[in-house]
Amino acid sequence: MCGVISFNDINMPTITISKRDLESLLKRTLTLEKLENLLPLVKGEIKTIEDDELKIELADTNRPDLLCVEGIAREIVAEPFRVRDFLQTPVKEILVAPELKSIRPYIGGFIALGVSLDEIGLQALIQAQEKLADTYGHKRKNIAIGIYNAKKIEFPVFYKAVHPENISFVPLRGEGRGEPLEFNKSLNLQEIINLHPKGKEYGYILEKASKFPFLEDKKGTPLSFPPIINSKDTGEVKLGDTDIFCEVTGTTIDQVMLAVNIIACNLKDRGGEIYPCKVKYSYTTKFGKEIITPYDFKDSIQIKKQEFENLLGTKLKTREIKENLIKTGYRTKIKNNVIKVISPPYRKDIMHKVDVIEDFAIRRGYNSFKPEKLKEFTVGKTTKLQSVIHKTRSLMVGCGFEEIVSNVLTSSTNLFSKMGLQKGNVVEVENALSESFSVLRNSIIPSLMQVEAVSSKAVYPHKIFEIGEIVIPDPAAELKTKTLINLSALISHPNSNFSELHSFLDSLSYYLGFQYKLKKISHPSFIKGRVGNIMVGAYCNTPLQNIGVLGEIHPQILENWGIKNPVTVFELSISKIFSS
Amino acid sequence: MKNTNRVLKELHPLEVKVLLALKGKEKLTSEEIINIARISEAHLRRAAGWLETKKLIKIIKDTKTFVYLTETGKKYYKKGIPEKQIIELIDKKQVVNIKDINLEPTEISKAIGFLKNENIIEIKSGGTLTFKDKTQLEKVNHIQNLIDKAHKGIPLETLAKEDKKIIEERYRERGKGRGMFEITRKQYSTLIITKQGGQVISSLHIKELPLEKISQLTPGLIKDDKWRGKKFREYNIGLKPPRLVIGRKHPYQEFLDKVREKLISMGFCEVEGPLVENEFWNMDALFMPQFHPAREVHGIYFTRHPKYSKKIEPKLLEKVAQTHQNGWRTKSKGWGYKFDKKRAQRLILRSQGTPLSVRTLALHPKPPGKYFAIARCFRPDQIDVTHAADFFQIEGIVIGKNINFRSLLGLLELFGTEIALAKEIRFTPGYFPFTEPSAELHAKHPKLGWVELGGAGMFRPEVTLPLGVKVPVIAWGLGLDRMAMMALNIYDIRDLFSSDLELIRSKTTRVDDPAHSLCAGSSHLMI
Repeated sequence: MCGVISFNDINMPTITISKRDLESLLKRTLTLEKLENLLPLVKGEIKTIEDDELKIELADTNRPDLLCVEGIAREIVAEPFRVRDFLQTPVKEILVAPELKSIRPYIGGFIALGVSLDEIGLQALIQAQEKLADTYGHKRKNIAIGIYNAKKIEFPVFYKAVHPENISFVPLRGEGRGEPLEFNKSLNLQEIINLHPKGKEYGYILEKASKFPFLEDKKGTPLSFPPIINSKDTGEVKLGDTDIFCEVTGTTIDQVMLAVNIIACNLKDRGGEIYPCKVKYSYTTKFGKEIITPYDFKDSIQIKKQEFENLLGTKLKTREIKENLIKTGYRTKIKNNVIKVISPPYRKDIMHKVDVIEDFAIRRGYNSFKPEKLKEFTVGKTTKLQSVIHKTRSLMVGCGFEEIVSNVLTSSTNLFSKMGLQKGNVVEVENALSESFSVLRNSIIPSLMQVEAVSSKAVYPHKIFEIGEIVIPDPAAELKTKTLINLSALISHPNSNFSELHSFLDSLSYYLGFQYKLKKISHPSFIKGRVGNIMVGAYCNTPLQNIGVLGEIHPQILENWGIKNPVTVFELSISKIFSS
Repeated sequence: MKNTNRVLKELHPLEVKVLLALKGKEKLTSEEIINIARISEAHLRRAAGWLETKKLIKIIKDTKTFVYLTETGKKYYKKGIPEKQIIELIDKKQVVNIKDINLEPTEISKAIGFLKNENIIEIKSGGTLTFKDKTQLEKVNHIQNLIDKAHKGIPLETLAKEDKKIIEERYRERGKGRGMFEITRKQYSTLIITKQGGQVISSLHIKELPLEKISQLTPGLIKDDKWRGKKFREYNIGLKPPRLVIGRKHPYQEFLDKVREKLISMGFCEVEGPLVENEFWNMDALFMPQFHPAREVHGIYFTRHPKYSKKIEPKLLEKVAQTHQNGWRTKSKGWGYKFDKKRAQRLILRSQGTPLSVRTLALHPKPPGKYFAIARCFRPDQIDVTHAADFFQIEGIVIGKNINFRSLLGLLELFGTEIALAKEIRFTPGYFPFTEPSAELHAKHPKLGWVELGGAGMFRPEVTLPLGVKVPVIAWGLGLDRMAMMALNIYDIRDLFSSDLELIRSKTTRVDDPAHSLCAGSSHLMI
């Protein structure tokens, strides 16, 4: 199935998972069909299947905890979340230097002991780390994650700010374009920014910093240069490693701590025992100067049973609500038909009651709700402008013209140089992907010329028209621009000329009920003496208003477009005729 | 014989002319028939086509290389080649000076060179020319004869060796020189009489020829009663008529109009809006945080100039800013970041149809209300088979005191059965930053299986409350381009906006219902 733009789809994140890995996390096997039926729980959809490898697209960009196989398993397994696995006494410390406050202020971390990571598990961990940092962490700007072999580290760990040239270590290899680059020699932090592929990719984050963030252990062994790269010696987790230290640094504390929680949950789900770290700041944060991570936010919200019922349009039992919310990982307390809901530590996306109510509806199953027809009567109608467009279109078809639908986004080459015009005032796009689609058309004539340029093999005569939007700058308008509706018509065949199209314009004006005069003008796109403005006067005493142009295209312009038959066109503004 | 009679009755005068030309021969080339029957090439092509359909002749097409005249050659065909012109001049005056020859200098030098080499003339001092050996004149006449023949085209294969040599010498090389011959490959047809054709031809003389029957009834024939007592030539009404180009709505427009008609019939009101929007209406008012990935350069087109809209109404802007920051009075926590009010004025190209819905809501229409917009939208995607430079979305809202999640499902169900004519539908959870709960509509397609048709959700309170709307609102959208591609049998979205006139002419929608083919079982879908 091809991916087609649908109702507000944005670029959805896609993750790759192993079906066997998912099954081992779920402790049961699943048929593909069964899995497909369960994926709506995570708003996911299988995109491709290659043996054991599934690519899954996830729609909810506000759920970073679902960007990994462990997160998907947690939703499917539907077990209550046991918080005690997280809240053990911290054994190790991370100490934060004061200068980081203005560079990259926040850090969190933990140790996971006895994790069983096979090759697939290790890949899943690395993917989770990358997806969180890239998608949720805005390309490592907001958060970056490092994982280490805990056995090589002596605590406490120091989070410092250092001079870029004073510290050197051998960085992990970097995947650049082509072959991965091995770095066997020690580089200082500035050299890493300049030479290492990851330095080149993420160096922009530290553009304004005079000192760089740096992690080392008690002995002074370098751990990493966040958010760029780990040390090769300590910061490489290999197959068979069971004890892992994970840290997250970043610029927003909520995101840093949520990412710590998510990775900790993931490693717990893979059999690890989680030992929190105590982070000691020399400055205050929203959560105090000393924070134990992972951290239970205990985000809570109170919702009346009736609020569930009103939004969902269904009578519900409190027990049913409670059971379903627990399966989603929430902790609940009920008192007098008010449900207090506490989010699991790996979620921080609940902003409003409606978010919880949707979670309940998803867990219960959308197809368990009976669709109900809208009962209230409303009158349907179109707009005045659309009615005029509709009538104009019928008339043009009656005149024997074929309709064209073109893109509004085009090039200034088409609008100006090919039409023999100086570049005029037009709405340009700043971040165009190519010149061909970089300005909004201010006239439909070039769109029809484009049709002639590529349709010389189409049976003649060509009588074509288009009714559509054009955009012009207008300093007086709310949006400094105006979207107008224009009609343009074109005839082309060996004997086509001004008078033939003039006849059609004349009939059209009669049936649309406007009177016009042609005023001779000179215009670089047209043959001299065979072009005029279409002038209308709405009321007596008002000056005539210019609403368009009719003329025979100059042979030089035809040559610019590669058109071999004579062409006559007119264009007029439907919006202008009917604005009065 | 019965069959032959019927064929005879329906013969068109042009067919008779062609058959008469073929009479007594087995086959003739098209050129020969044109000469014998004295008809135009276009008439022959039409008549031959008909005769072939009736199996009276067989047409064998082949290409042959012909020698033709260039523009220069055609000039010489009328005036004679320069050599001949010079000889005629000498013939008349006996002695001619080069200066007296009224020809181009290059023509003169070439012609004199030739005449001298062939010993026909000699040049004396002072540039006077006289005959030397008149017996050699034949050579000049020979060339002139070739020119006369090549005027009509000489098949290259029929030329004698020495003629070929002459042509080679005077052949126009691409882009230079003024040769008089050019060589072109030309398609030609040979018409061969079939057995049945032979029978018809042999009956032609017995039967009354259709040339004497009335072919075209004219005003004159009616006025003067000349048709009385005459017979009318019978037509072969099974023949394909000549192709016409007719005026017609664009098939995609036809599809859009049909969907518009459906929505109006369901009680929806159409709304319109500008292509250039500001970030406020396109995203801020929709509670999409300013750090949302869809708001970066990869997700949206920013304008270069002008860059900012006029100021947004300050009270409304403040409410929306507060909602983003801390939820304002919506009982939401908000996104918890510092809202940039200047950015709300930044101009962009509309990336979705939803700003039209929010602008409608901001006007506080009295509930109940149902609205829709057919909106052209823009996103900076690389153009490919699934991404066009701009595309259409159909989006809308339903406002009502008593609507809820089940009404939302009811609305989607209605779209599935009424617009896509689906027999089986299902709902899955969806995600849109501005609705909660959100649902997607899937319909079962007889061949493709489950196909996503669109989505809907209840606008979040963070969207409705800052606008002063206190009743529930359903926002919905349909995956329009996919439906259109399926209905029009198109596999490349760019074809919906194609500039290729023949491609547009080839596309049509079903008579009963353009959207019909989606789920009611169209004949040839393959995505």
